[in-house]
Amino acid sequence: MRLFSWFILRRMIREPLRAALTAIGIALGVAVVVAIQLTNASSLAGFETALNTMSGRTSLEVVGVGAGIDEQRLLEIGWLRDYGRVAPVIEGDLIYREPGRAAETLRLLGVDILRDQPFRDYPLLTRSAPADGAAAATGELRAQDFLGLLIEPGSAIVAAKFAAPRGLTPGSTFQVSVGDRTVTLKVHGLLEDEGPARVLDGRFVLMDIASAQLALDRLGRIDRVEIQLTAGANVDAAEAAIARRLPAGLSVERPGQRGRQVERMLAAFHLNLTALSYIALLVGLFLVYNTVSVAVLSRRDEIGTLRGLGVTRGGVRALFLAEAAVLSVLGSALGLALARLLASATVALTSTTVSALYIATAAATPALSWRDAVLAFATGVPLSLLAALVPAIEASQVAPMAAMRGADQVEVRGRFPRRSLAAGVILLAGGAWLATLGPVGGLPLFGYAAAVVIVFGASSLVPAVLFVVARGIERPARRLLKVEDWLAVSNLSAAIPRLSISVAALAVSLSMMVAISVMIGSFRETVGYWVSQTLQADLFVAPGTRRGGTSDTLSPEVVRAVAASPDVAAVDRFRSIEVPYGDTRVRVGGGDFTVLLDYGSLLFKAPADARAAMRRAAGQDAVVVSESFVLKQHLGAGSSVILPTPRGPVSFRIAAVYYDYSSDRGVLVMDRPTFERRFEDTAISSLSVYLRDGVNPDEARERLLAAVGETHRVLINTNASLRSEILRIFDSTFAITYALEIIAIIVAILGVSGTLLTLILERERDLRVLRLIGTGRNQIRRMVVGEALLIGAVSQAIGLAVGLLLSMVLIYVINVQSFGWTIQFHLPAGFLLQASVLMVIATGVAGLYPARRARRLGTYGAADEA
Amino acid sequence: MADVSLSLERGDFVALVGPSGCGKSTLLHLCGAMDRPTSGTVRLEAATLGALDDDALTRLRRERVGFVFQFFNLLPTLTLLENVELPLLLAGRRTTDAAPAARALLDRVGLTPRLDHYPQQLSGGEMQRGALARALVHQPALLVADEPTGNLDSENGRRIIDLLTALNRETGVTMLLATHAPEIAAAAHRVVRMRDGRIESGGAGAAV
Repeated sequence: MRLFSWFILRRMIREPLRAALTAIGIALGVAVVVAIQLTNASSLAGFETALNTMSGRTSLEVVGVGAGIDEQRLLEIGWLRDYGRVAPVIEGDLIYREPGRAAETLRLLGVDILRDQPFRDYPLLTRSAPADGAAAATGELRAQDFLGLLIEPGSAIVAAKFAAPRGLTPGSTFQVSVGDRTVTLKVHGLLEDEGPARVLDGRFVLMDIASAQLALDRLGRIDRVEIQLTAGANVDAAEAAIARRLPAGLSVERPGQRGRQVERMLAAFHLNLTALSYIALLVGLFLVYNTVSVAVLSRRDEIGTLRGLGVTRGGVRALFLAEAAVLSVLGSALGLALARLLASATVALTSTTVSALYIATAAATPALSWRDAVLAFATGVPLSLLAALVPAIEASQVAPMAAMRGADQVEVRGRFPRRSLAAGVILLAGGAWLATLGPVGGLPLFGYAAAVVIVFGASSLVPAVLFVVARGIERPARRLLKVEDWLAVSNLSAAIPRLSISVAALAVSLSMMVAISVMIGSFRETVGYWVSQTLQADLFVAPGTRRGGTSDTLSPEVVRAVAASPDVAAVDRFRSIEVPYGDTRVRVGGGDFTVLLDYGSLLFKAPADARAAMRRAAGQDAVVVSESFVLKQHLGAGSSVILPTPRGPVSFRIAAVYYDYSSDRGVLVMDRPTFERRFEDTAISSLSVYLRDGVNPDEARERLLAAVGETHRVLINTNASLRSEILRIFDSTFAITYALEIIAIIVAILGVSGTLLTLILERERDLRVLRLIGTGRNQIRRMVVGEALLIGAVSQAIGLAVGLLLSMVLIYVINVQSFGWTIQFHLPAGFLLQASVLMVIATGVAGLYPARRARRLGTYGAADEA
Repeated sequence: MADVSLSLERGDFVALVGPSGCGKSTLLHLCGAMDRPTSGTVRLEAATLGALDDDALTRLRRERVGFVFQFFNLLPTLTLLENVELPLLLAGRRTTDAAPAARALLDRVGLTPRLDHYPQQLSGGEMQRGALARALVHQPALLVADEPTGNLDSENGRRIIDLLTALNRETGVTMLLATHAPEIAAAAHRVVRMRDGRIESGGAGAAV
């Protein structure tokens, strides 16, 4: 211990910059990993915990398909009371807008208020009684408190946390949007910050079920019937018995089931982010390797002395591992703190994507828990120790006193690294093979494995590549460049074993960057083409809430007003609902096939005569489905798919498959009459409007908005604005990808700087000799920076080559398997060129600090023994 | 070091002898323009070293001084030929110019068959002869050598002394050698004895 404090701690205190750089590298890596976990958790947490707390003491629930259960069917299931207490529930989202602030989503829960008490507790802060600001009474709701809720439509209990900052007190009213309508609610009481109100951060509204149906414009519908089993009942047995007795179209499930479906839906998206976050950590570990290497190298003679004084090999190893341990504990702790900050940013970056593509979620960053601390230390510390192990072992092999006798010169001028070439080629071949394997449980695990193996293959190739490059350019460099540049090249070729690991680290992060840019570039190009081919309508009308939930519908008046406009040639009325399919959820839609075929367009994948097939499908139990659905379910045009409907499962024929990039979980569209007949749902989610020839879309939009009037809040996009909106959502989806990558690259560049520093310490005597025989300080700087530039250029070249390989894996394997999207390969050459130049310059800049160190060396010690 | 006065003539061959720690190396550093004196003056040809900045000292070393050390100190990343060319290249000469000069000198020290070898592929004697060639390739006014035979067996040591003597005669370069070896002292024109930072004997002589 004393040895540690003398030998390691004092040194760290004397060279705080080096220690700090390493700790920051680890911290960044750990922070990214933890932040992504927090982010992933947040997109589920908003949904799942709310779901769980709202389920209260419910043990089972009966659910319908699509837009909920028709109240009249409750009569058919009156026997549910035999199993315990039964309560109908309706849920929905309300949008609350305040001038100058982002719209907020309030979760509305409508319950049969008199019957619901056994299911949920409602700790009330204030009762409806006089709102004179006098001492607020706290306590459980009693029956008389609810009378107001029952009598007065629009009466609601809101969370105190929501009400207080907005000046809402019992008796005051506020307005919310539901679909295209504006609803006025009256505050009847305030909820304490507990249960759902707490989980949803105050964005929770409780109403009586009848008022809620009115507010949500879903009269006669409920979402589910909750069952609280009689005490002592076996849940499994009850579930099975209820399942047997339920009429077609209804099913019984555990409250957590929807959460799990959503989790599965998001799994691929989350896995993607997690994989990305580990790149930053991996690169951070290279930094640890570097730092400990520097420590070992610069102190060989001290180690030799220690060995001579009787410190064992194990002791030396332990010393350097302890250094890594101290740095990694510091780094992990710092990373944990950073993670919270970073998570706010990443949650903000991903919430648009998650709600645009998957579920409406409250984008709140979850607080750090002990679990995140465990994750931070459990990834940061052991991995850092592993990274430090190689140099620590190297240190332990220093012979006693040997460092002083010049017997342990570091190897220079190696032979061609044949083993590196062989290992690289074998790994790359293995990666290619892995890329051909199918998904596991809907996740492209082999695809990711292929990417990892390719990365390791490329890393093993680095020594061979460096060897060839250095030898190849040595002669031309000597003939064409200044002497210091030529020295830089020969230094590089002598230091291949040392440099390989940092070049590999940098090349790996760069290859990821290249792969991701190529993938995103290709994807964007593909989406752009798809949008231009399929977005044919002139105007798109949607409810002002634009969330796509079941309760976000257009009022019949609005639909009539639009259809009646003299500007309009045709309207495609579209309804979309979510339906459970297998262990996930898919989107089922109903649209006007004839309008779509006559005016619009879809980009069909199969069959060859898809348009004719679609026309024939009108009026039949047939669907056209998105590519991602058939890819994930291993189906094709002509096969059948069985969907649950309110009257039981129905088999639909797949008439055609079309390309779609709006959702990765599958969209099945049927002709409107079929949809209305099968799903007993006549609501409309959105309209695609085709204008008459010669009508200006912007003017038509204004006229339509005027026709709809002030009473309804609708969103009308022109074709052009929707296109740019789609690309905007697309870009925001990938903002996080770029952000994570940039962090990884920063860490990698820190690594290059560290390696150069190692090399300079290692070559100190040679540098002094150079100074002695007349090399100027500026020549030394130019040499070191030249070496850094060279490292940057070689890394970037390897990064480009490997990145292109990886982008193929991303595009043709990982994307297809996790999202079911076909992406056309497209090379964003301009971007890559710019990025390459920038990278090389950045590494050159990273060489400035080591160059400064080298420049300061005098000639003393030049005469020393090597 | 205190109170040291030493002058060398062009073509001199001076051996600096004395026990370890007597200040031989410090004197060599000062004379070789590796360091500036804290007090007193050191002059090399027309230049007063104390008045020069680092760049000027560097240029002076590059053009007017050659160095040979006990541990040879060739750059391990360069071949023998490249090592010898380096001082010329650093001074801005083209490689087409530098290579023939380096080859000629390497031929003179008998290393023509070893041109493309790296230092670690050479024997101690070969390395020291290479170092000698590097020290002289740019035709310096002064050759500074610190224990040039200290790490060699007597056979190789003998060869180095012979070369030093011959090259001193052929090129007229001034030589200042710190040594423990009596053979070198015997070959020198003049022997300067040092002890405790002072010159005991042999210090007199005209200024360069």
